[in-house]
Amino acid sequence: MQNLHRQRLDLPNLGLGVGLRNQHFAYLMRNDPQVDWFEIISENFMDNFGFARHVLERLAAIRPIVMHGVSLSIGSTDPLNWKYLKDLKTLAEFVQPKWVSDHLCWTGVANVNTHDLLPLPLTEESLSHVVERVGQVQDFLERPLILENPSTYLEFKESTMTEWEFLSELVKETGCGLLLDVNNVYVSSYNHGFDPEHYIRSLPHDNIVQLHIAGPTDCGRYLVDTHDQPVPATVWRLYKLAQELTGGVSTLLEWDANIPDFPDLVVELKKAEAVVQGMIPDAPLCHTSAAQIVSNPVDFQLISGQ
Amino acid sequence: MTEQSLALIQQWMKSVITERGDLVEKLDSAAQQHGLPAEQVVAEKRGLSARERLSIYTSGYVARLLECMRADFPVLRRFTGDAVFDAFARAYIVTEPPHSPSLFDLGARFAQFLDETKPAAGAGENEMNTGDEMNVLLDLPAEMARFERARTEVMRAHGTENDPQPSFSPLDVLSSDLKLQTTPCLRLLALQFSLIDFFQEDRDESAQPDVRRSFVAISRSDYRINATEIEPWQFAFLRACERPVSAHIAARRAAEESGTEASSVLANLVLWLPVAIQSAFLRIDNQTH
Repeated sequence: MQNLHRQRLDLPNLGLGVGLRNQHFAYLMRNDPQVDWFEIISENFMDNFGFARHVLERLAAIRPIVMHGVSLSIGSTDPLNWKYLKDLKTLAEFVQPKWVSDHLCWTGVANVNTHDLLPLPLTEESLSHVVERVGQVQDFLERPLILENPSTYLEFKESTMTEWEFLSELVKETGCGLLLDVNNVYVSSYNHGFDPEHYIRSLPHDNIVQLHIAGPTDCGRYLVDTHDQPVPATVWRLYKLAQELTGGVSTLLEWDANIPDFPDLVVELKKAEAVVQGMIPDAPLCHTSAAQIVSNPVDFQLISGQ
Repeated sequence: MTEQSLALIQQWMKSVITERGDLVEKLDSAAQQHGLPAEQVVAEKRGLSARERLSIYTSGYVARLLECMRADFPVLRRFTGDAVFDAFARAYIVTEPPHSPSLFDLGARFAQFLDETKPAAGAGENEMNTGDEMNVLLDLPAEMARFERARTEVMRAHGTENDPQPSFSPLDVLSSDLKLQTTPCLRLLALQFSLIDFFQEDRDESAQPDVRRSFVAISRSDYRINATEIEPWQFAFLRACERPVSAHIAARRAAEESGTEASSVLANLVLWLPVAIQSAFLRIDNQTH
């Protein structure tokens, strides 16, 4: 695919959006959505032809939709899953999304899918492997792939570059877009001890298509990406920086466990408007001593609430 | 020191996450399989050891999938209690790690797993006079899982919500060219227990399902999932319609399988077919009708 260096790959700034979750289906079928756009988890809809598909069809008629995947496993050394990619493309033909995104990660190997977003060793070998696969996926989907930086809890001794260097090279080689999750930057920076502002400043801003914001949990000696809290002030400050550096890109609030009622979610999302004006909410980081904290929660993928 | 290719690191980490046992056992197993101790692979910094960092992934893996299983099988979980259900689900996750990109597929084999791992029939028979009943009760968790899985599949299957209103007369059953097929959102269950009442939301929490042979059709109409107990001939008729088939042939098969007179099946079908179509059990196959 031809390298694209236009701002945001010529993709629009959709404004403020939220993830479409089962828990809000009934509300959204009766009320105005109140948000500019929705992000769906692609895997939730690829093999779902029931009420969820009906809700999606209704919302896609009145709001832009973005497809966000969790199982592409772009970094895995297993072969690309072409059945998955065909299903993804079929869903994209139905939804007509503004773009299709996934994560810089691997989810499994040897045909096992852990349903976690696992970190890659950041090496020349990994870069070359991911570059080749991004090219294959983009050619197949006939659109740029947008990749998100994951939250990580470990780094490999083999790594020879930073994540922002890896992503910058990936963008240069493939022309892919970036989904910058500023919460993930914050979580990983705390866990590995780097400067989150330096990370954000070092990325190729013209290729940043979308931002994610969310609330993590402080587990004492490390942070976990729990998506179950209001966005803390530290993450809002990184969000403001990212909006300044990119010139303004689509923003999505992730809230995937202990999901609040839709109107409360909208209140949290709208804080982003004040943040870009310099008014940072004084929201603290949530602390817990609970042993069973789960990163990348899957409440949003469960059937309850449908 | 072993050269750590991307493939080797991923195989090693997959073993650490999905192997049986506690973290020490997982790490020992991964080290034996791949020749890599954790300390050679994972950077230790900010006061967190390689093992502590890996434990975030290993504990998260099981907790995440366990949460899915709890959501997919809420009635079985209430019936068995949290501790027993979690033990079943953990054993399933460790024995059959997920392969599919979709979490919808996670619970697909749970009922079969419960069947395959239940205590052998006859255990305890000497101690109790009700040995046969005890043996049947051992099938209950798997039957409940099968019921819940069927409901989940029906919820997500292609339905009939956008079908045009079928135009047919019940008496068309008597014509030999009426072709029928079950809908994609129908699941048929032959059960040893009477489970329908047990799955009602307003059921008595202390109630036990009756041991009674029952036939159930689960389907979806206007996005509502309905479970209906059906007669043996109706069950056999629907089974016969899993591929496009003339109503006459299906009725003959249903009669043979259920031990009913074919004429009786056809007569009952005149009354029941509109209900079966309305309930989204069946569609008229318009290509031939």
